Amino acid sequence: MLTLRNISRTYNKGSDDAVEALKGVSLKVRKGESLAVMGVSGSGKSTLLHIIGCLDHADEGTYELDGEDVTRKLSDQLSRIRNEKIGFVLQDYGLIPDKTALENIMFPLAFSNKVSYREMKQRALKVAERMGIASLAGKRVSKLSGGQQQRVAVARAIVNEPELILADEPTAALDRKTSDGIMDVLLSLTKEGRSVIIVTHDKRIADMCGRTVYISDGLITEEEP
Amino acid sequence: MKFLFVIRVMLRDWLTVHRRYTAIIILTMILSVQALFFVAVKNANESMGSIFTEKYYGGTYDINPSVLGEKDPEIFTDAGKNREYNEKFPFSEYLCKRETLDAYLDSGLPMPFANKEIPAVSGDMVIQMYKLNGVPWYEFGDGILAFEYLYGIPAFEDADSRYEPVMNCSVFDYMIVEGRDYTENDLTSHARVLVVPDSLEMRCGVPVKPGDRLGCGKYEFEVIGVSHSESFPDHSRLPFWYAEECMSEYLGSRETQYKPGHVTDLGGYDSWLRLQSLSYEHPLSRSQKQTLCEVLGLPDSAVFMGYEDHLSKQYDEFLGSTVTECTVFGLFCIANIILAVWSLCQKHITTLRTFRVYGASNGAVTRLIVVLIMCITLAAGVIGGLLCIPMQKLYESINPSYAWRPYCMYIAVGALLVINLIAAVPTAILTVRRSPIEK
Repeated sequence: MLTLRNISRTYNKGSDDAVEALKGVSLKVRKGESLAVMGVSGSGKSTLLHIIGCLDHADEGTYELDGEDVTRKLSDQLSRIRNEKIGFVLQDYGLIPDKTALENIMFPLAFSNKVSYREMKQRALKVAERMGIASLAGKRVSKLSGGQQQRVAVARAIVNEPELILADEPTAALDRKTSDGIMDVLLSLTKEGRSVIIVTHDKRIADMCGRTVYISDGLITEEEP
Repeated sequence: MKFLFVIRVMLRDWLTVHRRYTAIIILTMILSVQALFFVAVKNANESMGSIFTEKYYGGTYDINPSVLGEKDPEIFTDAGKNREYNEKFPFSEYLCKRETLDAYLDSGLPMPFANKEIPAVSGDMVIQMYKLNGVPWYEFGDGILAFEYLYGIPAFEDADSRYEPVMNCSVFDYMIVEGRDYTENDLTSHARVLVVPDSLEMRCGVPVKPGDRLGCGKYEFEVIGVSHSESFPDHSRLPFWYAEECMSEYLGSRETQYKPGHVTDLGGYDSWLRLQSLSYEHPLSRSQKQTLCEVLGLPDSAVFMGYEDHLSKQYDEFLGSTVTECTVFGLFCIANIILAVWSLCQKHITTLRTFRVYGASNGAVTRLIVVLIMCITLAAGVIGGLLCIPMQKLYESINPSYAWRPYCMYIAVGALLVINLIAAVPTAILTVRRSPIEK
């Protein structure tokens, strides 16, 4: 599904406060695989996720997504890839608070060339139903509980039917029961052939995934440091 | 539709969650429209003459070239009747009272073209202008260019006449009550025929009828008709060739009999306006214009070659001063609006970032920001534009000569749109150039 080769990323390159976030990271994720990325704060987890999600670029190395080299793609090409191939579950949900759950779920479809306006609503409702939040579709997300908001966030991530789902601390603010529910949904996506990468601090959540990698000082390892 | 969905959702946010902020922005924009409108009105009035001049110019002389071009006698009859502004710009009244130019200025009424430094032109200038302009005189006013003398026509001057003969080449409304009017043949062949006013009988004490013969100066004329005019009952309508002769005689003796700079100069203004209106129909060539300027000793800017030349000169002057002031206002508006637009985008930065994370292209985000800003601008523009109408009364109270010029409103609203577009595009570009993950 995706292959990273010797990816390096340095912030503020050339200046005194340069930070080397990733130092030649290589990683391969197969189709339908679930991968947990663990590491302490500042270890480079989020940077890795941003590069995989085509939100940031690597200074060195190559990145292949679905057999396509995306390392040197233009901004608008990356936007299209994000829209069609990647679903994001952002930290703190990343929902637009004053909009309804349905509107939040519909937004990614609004920027897609493959879905008409009519289909948008139908698809969003279908996904909401799958996530068990159909009855909350007309409610503002700011009025929903943490678990419900996270479900909306997951629904938004999968509404475009992406092949890769990236989740940044998806259970950080949730209780155990709700966390398990969210994880069930995310992991169920792998059965449909989608790859899921979850960044987490929680060992228990990582253990639910098929594979875990660790990041420490910008280097990746399969072994817990 | 999908784009509209996003716009609708975003706009709803601006009008609910951020309504106060949006209201402040709209208010700023409305004030900008008012400021721009005032600048435009001020400059328009300064560069295009006073309201009286414009109304007189437009209302009485029918400067619209399409009207002149049709050459339909009825149009001129109607034009003569359409004199609602004559009372506000009483040339004739001042002429009759023998007011001097200074007295006219002292009266506080605005001086037409006074600020354009066009010198007062006397009757002989006007005649020369007509000649040089090559205007077929018989194309005006039912085949007559009514070159007349206000009161005291030499031919009918009675012993008690104390009136100064003044040339006035206006077209006035009249009707033939007896006999017939001049024909084109009468005028082109210099036939010694005359249409007299019905007031002549009262003034001369002798009934005058078609077929009578009257001595006018050194010629004897056959009366062919009697005319009646409600607005100018004593005016005679003389054939141009005769009026020209009379004027030449009058002008020859004028310097010794009358003080210079008197009412004739006002009459000159009147005629000047007319000449300019004629040039709309018969544009001068550049060489003709040059000759005219040399003969009359006028600056190049004082003579217009035609309607387009006249308009372009007016607009050059108008735009020159407006652009300068609008630039200052514009910079102020741009600074304010850029700040406002940027702040507004910052309030939505999370939303915009989310859109970009989920695949909105840079172009889509730019369009979104520009359309949103334009929606707000249009709302402010419409309100600001409508407010210009009552504000006009305020401006009139500042200066009574300020005319209502709708195009100033369009200029102001248009300028706001352009300014906002200038502000919105870089703001959008700055927004999309930030990384979607940058907080």
